[in-house]
Amino acid sequence: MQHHDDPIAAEIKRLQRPLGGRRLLSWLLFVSAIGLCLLLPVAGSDHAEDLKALIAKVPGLAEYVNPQIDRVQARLTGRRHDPAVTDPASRKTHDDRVAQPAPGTYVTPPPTVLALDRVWNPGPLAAAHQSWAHDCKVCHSAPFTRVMDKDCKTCHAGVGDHVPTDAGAVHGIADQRCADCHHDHQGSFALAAQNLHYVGRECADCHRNIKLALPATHTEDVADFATQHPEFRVQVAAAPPDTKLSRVRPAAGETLQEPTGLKFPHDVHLSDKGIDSPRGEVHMECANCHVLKQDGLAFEPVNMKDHCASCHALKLEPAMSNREVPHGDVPAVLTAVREFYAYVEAMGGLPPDAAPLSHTIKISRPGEAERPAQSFLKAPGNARERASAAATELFEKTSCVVCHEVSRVPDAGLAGTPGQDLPQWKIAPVQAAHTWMPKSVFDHASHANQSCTDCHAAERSDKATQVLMPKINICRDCHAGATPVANKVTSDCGLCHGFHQPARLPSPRAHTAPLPLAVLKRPSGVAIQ
Amino acid sequence: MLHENVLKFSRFRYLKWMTLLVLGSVIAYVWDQPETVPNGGTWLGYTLGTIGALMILWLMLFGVRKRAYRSRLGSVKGWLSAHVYMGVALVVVATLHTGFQFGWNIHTLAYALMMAVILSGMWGIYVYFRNPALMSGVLDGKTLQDLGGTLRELDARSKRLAGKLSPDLQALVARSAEAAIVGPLFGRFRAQVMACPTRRAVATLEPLARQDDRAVRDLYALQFQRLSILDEIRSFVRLKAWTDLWLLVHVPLSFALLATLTAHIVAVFFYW
Repeated sequence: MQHHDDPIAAEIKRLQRPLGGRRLLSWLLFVSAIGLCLLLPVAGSDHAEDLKALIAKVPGLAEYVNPQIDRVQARLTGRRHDPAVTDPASRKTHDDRVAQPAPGTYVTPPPTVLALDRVWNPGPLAAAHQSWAHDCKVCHSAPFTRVMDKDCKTCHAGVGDHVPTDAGAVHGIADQRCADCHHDHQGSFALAAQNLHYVGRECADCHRNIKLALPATHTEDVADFATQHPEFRVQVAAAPPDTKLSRVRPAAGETLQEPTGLKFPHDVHLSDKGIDSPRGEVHMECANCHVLKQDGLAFEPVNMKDHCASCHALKLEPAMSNREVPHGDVPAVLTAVREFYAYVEAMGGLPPDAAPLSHTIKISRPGEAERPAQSFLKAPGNARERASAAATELFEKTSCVVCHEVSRVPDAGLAGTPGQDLPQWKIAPVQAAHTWMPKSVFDHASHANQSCTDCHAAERSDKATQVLMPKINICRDCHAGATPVANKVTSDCGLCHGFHQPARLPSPRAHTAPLPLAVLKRPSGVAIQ
Repeated sequence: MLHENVLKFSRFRYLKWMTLLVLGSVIAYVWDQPETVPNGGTWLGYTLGTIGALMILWLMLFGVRKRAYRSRLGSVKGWLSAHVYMGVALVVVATLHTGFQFGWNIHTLAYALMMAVILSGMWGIYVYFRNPALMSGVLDGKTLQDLGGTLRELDARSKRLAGKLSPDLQALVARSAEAAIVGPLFGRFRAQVMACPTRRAVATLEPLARQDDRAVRDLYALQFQRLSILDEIRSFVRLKAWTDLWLLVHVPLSFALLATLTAHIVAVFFYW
């Protein structure tokens, strides 16, 4: 018996209905979330100019709002509004660049309006990339397209390929993008950690059976440094003057030979008994001649002036202790000799600055029997003949021949020089210093607690031709593979090898050039290229 | 009882299924060794993400199934049982999908909304367990319409009785009869109404009823009874409002989740 106009019944009926507003609230939240999280960033990214044009349609708004947009955008992304790039007519230039990328002209597409798409950033970028955290399009240049290699190479232009491109397409690598392996947005140090991970664990995935990936390769299979790694290939030179370098794998027990053009017995110089030098008995050590470069990796080239001349003086005449012939240039030597004896003949005696002999001049090499040095001041004949005899002594007996391959040649002397009328000699070219193991990086500095001869058998080397590069077993004394072993250094591939190798073998002087820019220093100081 | 059936439906069938899903996800997560840190972009991350997104879509379909009265696609009770257990399992699946990477971005916003929806759902389970018994206890077998009828009856008798009394008391009774059951705006969430005219009538009549005037005493009794019934209705309405409220959170937030989930997926593929 209820009345429709009964307020109590009406209120009760109202109270019995469930709470309203679900539908309205749902629509409200759905539309605003889609708008803020999806439509606005997409519009700002791909339709920046449309968005601005839309604003421009409201009278008076564009003059105020659009400069503000540019200002905020510049603050967030560090990039200013550039009509040349963001002009609607040229907006598709990015796509054009995809078709014809000219080196050095790559322009990153314009940033998203107000950097609206930064709400999509899924996680912190690597430390080096963090300055672009608000400018997604620096790396993500095209929507719905994964990061392309050209996006990476805009900055990382100097990064080499994993395998020289002339080796052909390598299965498993040729079709990979940079970003297939290098995943950013995983934190400040994630990219570095990934690099260490890849060179640490995943090289063997292909290298344990490398012929599957690259049938034509000369590389041998490698699974682990301790258990399956071939003997090191050492880069040696062919006989001079051929400077071609090739990487040779020594057989078991074999000591590689390289024609150096020098006579240098390491064993004599490093003898425990010492060397009877002009300054008395000296005990030499490796560092007297081999000076580590500042990079801690390789050594400065050895040279006559700094490392040999203090003992191996190029004395001109036994009666004088303070005259030497210059090192390195045969005509200059002959000229010095010729001029000296001409002076003696013309003036009838020694030059006024001639210092008396303070001690016996050694003309025998260390360890050889002593021989008296011969003076040519009063030798028979004229000045030219005396000079000729002295030069012969110098080249063939006392000085040049001590270290060099010297041969007498019938050629005429260098025209226009005083020494041209003397007999002529030829010094065999000396092999230039070069990298021995170009496919790896060896950090000498971090091995400073070892002595050189632990790895390089210099004390037992009696010929300069002997290549003293250690073999793998020497390394294995201290280095385990990727699996930790008691009292050994756990060593994955990345400890010695890099991933992005330069396209070609380093030139003979490459180790004197700075390392490539894209070098990642490990904490231990070993560089990964 | 609905709630017993919902959780124990078909001998905990969906609890068992969802336990398997959760265990499988956890084992896969522990077993998986991603190249760096676990994240949504690894193969397991994509798998868990896909499963999670499909679960969210299916969970939202419950709103459709609930209204499809003629549907024979399982009982609503079964759907609700699965809805509850799947919602709880989603916490684990989605959290493992994130790889515990959170930030100030729409991806974490979607996750936060999802957690809010699930939490409001748990709140819903709680009120569905607790409130119906309280509500039927309040009404004690009567309906709101019954109580409304009693109110009208009390008002008629009060009016007749007050006719013999002073105009002040007549006005008091008239205002009491016009009193709203609940206050404005969020009134239904409170059992009390500020300055309730019936309560004022009772308070005014109480000292007068101590005097030996039978009519006033009767009027006091009628108004006291009215206040008691009003309190019953208000308690019921309050319980019902709080019982309904979770759904007002649950449903709109789930649509906000659907929107941000869409944005999350598009963003991930837009700037792949």
